[in-house]
Amino acid sequence: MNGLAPLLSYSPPGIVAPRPVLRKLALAREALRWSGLSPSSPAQPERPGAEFAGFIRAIATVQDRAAFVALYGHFAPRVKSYLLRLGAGTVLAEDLAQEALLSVWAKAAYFDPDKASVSTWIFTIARNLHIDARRRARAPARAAAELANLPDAAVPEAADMVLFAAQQQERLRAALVHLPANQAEVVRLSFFQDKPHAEIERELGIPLGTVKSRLRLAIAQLRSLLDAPK
Amino acid sequence: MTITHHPAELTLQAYAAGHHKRAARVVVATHLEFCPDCRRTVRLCEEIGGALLEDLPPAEMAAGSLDRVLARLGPVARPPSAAPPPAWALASGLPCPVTLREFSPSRWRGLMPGISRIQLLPPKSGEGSLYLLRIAPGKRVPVHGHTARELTCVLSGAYTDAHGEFCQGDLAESDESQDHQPVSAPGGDCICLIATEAPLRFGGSFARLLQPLVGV
Repeated sequence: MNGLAPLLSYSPPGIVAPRPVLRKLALAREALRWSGLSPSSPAQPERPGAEFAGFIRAIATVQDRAAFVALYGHFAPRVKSYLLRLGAGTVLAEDLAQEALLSVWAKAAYFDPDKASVSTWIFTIARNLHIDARRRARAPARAAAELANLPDAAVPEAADMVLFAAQQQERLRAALVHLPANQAEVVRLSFFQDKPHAEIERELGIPLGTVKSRLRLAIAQLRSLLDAPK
Repeated sequence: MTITHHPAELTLQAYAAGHHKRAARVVVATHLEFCPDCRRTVRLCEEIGGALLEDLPPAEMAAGSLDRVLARLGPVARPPSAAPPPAWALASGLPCPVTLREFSPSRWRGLMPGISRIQLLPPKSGEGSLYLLRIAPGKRVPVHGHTARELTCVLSGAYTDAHGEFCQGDLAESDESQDHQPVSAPGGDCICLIATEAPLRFGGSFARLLQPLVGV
């Protein structure tokens, strides 16, 4: 009996994924890159943004551990890098990066590819974990209830919506590369340093008004890009 | 519903980046419940955060990190089929916004005739002071300024000050340079959710006497 139960409940992950072959290729690529065996790992190939959404769906539907390993390999080191930039120590950054990926697993069914790309969703998970950690540091006695990550109603997504969120993210990444250097620097600092805008002023030695106007310009430029006709 | 008063774009950016303290975060999140435009801006900023995350140089994970995480994988949570009912009500017929569900409020405490308050986060929390203020219809709040930034989101009713009329969902953002004297609209109580990072500074000498009592 016990031996049969897993067999009966098991369905191959490839069946639920939209494009099984591509997905498996991407899994293999990610696993290779993660293990450091890939000869082409420094020359970042194209980002499989839509593939990542497929991995998350595979976790949500069949608890696909291979998909999780691929997501972990790609995102855990980036989340850790983000947390280190926010000023977390090595131990905390490692712990929170692990927690973030555990949340990706546990909350996979909450992911809505219409609302955000995978990297954005994971960014918000990591950000919220850092907010919680910072709050615990400020007031250790307080309960750690958090309003963020409110559960959204689960809406089935059409495949083209998945592609849309992923494409949007691709366009955004391309546009970030083309921002004027002084704007790009302010944008990066405003996200990756746990600092209010006034402290960026000190860090860059430029007036607060300039910090704010550069940031506003950058946001306006990125916004116009995303609002442009597809 | 038309929202006329919004937070500054950079306030939304700072929200998306996770820089606000909890009190301010709750007020901005409450405005977002009412305002699809600002939700779009926050989403854009979060997408920028996601794009930047994607382009960060990966940090090296600790040895055995993946194995430890794999060993901890539990069940995948199922989203609830329906949203849970509101935990409590601001007034009869006025359920608390989703963003306030996590709080267990005390009762309204009178500050002065026609004005009462529920403190949700005490000033000493280190996360900013967060409170609900209920103003009777047609009531004039004493002139006051702020020693730091204050964010106010109107939850019901309306008030008017030098910056215009603020109705349900509107967000007012003020700093130390602005004194204001809100007057609540006739018709019903005006209930606001307010975050401050430092105590208010009352203008009149009588009001200044109240300061220690108010303590917001």
